[in-house]
Amino acid sequence: MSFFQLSSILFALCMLYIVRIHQRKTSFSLFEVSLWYFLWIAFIVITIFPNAFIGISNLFYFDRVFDMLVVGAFMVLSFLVVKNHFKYKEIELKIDKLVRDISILNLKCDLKKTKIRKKN
Amino acid sequence: MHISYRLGTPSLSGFKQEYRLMKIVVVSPAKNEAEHIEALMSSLIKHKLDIVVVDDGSSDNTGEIASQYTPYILRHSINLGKGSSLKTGCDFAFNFLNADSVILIDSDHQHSPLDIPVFCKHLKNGSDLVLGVREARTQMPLIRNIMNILLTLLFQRLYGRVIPDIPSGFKAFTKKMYKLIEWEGNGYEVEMQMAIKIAKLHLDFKCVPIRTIYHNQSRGMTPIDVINSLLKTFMSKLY
Repeated sequence: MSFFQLSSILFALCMLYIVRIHQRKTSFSLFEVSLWYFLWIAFIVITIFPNAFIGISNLFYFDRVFDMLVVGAFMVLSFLVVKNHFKYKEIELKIDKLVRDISILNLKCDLKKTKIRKKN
Repeated sequence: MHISYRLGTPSLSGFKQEYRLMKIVVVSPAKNEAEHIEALMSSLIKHKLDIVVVDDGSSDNTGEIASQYTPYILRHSINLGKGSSLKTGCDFAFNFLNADSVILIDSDHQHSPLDIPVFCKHLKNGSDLVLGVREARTQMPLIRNIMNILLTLLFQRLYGRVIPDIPSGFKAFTKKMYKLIEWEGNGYEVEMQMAIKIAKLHLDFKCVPIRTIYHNQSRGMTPIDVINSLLKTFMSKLY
């Protein structure tokens, strides 16, 4: 087993541990947890037995299994970046609206209180 | 009701009379402007208009100073940006204070409140949108001047319409116009978004020359913000 394979397996094991932590914190849904487990276990399997996947890589016209892995990882990362971007925009809009609404509500309350105080 | 406000009566000349005919509210977004807001507010109150100050998450006592001059202080608990502050101020002015028009003015006292009567006059005369154009270009720092010219030229090239001094934050519009030019951005790009909507919807506007005072060049809109606006102009043309 090469150094590259060893470090890849260690990295995947670390990521599995992180998935496990988030599973305990219930910040992931069952579907998400299963997806991440599948992804990292598949990564370990491909790293240990790269020759077993030559057929699949040839099917997609990749010369090496490693190339297929890199392209696959890049696709997953791109998807996550886009997803994160939209989520970030959505949260930004929600926070913006919330802060703006609270400021208007607070001022309305203050003005009402002042009015009542003046009446009394 | 609105029409009768707008037209007024010819005999009622003088700005004080005009204010009573049309409800105009001044909206000023402020972030850490304790140094300048007092000078601005003391000048603004002379015009007998309702003033709405949006304290955009200031860490100094901007809000406290402004509250000595107006009861309408909207406080953002966190900094959201100029665009969001203007939106909060305009929403409050139109929906709660029942304003017919708003005048936007920067809180760094870069604009002179002495120009406010000119905006009021144009609004009263039927203009729905009045844009303040900084008069003495020589007073403007060179880099800002160049960026501003570039922005105007690029805008004209892309949208076929000349809108002078796009980054100027001194402008006025009616409620009807607000619905048309309502912006989505929350930062300095808001001025550009307004300009794009004006161009795309072929909206009429009046330009008025305004005085400009530069207190601190490192504050407010930086050349990077202008570059950002340039990029966003390009992007908005794509979709």
